[in-house]
Amino acid sequence: MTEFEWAEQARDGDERAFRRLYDANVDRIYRLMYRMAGEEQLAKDFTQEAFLRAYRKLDQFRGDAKFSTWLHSIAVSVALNGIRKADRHRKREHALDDVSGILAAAPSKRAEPGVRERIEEAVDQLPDIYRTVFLMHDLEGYAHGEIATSLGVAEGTSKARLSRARAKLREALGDAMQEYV
Amino acid sequence: MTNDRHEDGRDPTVPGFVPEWVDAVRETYHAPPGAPREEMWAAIEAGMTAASGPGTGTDPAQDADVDGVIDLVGGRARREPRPGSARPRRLRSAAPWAVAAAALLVLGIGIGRWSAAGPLLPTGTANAPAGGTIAEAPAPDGSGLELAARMHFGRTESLLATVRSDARAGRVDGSVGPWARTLLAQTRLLMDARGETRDDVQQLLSDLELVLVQVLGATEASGMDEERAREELDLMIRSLERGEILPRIRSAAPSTMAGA
Repeated sequence: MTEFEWAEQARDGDERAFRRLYDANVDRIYRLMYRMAGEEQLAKDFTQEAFLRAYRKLDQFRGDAKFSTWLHSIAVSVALNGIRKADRHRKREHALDDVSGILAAAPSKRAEPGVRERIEEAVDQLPDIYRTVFLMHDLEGYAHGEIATSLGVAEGTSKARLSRARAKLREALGDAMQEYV
Repeated sequence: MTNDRHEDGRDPTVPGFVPEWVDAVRETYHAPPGAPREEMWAAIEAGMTAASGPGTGTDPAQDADVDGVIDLVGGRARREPRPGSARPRRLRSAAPWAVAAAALLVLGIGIGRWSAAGPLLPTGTANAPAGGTIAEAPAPDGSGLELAARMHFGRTESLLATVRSDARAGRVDGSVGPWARTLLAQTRLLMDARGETRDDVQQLLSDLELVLVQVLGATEASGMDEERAREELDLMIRSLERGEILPRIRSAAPSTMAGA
């Protein structure tokens, strides 16, 4: 049975069919959500929200694309919006919390970061549109075609964004890269 | 999964980029643990029950994604409501209001840009003292943008007063979500007029954006994750109080404009 047929059954109210769709896709979606969010709780929230939205929108799924691709487009949207919200909360909380405490802790935390820490920080600093493509392609192994469909952009745009992401990383890391060469 | 990660190998546009370097990132950057399948499924199942069946998400206001990249794949959205789908009454009445308000905002911004010879108020007054209110600033010049902003503040005050009242009663009314979403979109529209509005107006809009996002978060979590909904509401109340947002809105939107 194909995912499209499961989706049709789920649309007709068969929860077991939706569970099959869940089982077939959850690991990959969760991995991507975790890569994007970097926190277990957020990754769980985004994954759950993506599946719930997909369930509510099943009657909009017509099989023009694979179910997994359609689901990914929902999941990526959920994650990007969720991360923006979380960032706003964090920024606000930092501003309201004891700033002196943060400043006092900062120097020791930032002292002599290792190469990996610098790499991770550089990835975090990438704009969302570049970071998402970098994570999907380079870290999770998605094909450009799938990324493009998930993001609603042309395949060439996906490639261009990846190239730009790498360029930005290289620029940000500078001499730290030499340690890996 | 088709992996074309190495199709381009060493990226020709980025000389010196080493695939092995990416491999190192892959091992450490937000390396995902195994998915807690059953735990997540339990939450999804509960949400499915609450949704009372698949395909209940066809409400355009609910689907409208302010920042959105959603709904780009698969089917083209069917916008007619499903027979028997329960749509909140408040939403039906909000839809024409939302369209009219959005049109007015766009018109206001257009008029403001056309008529403004500079910032909404003289730049010398732009830096309102910290903790000051908009009422302390010089009188508005009556431009379309100012009018649009004032009307927007009035409507936002109504929403926030409703939500705060519900929150104090321990409730979260999910049907205010579309209302908040519309106001959030309009807030961002006004924020885009940066440079044509005073700094204190922009600061208020920025604070409102955060609060509206929190309201949206609470309404979205309502019915699915009550703990998160309460948490979002707590954050919203704190933001409202710490930022003295309602008094600032009131000073920006006199009562004569609030119901306009």
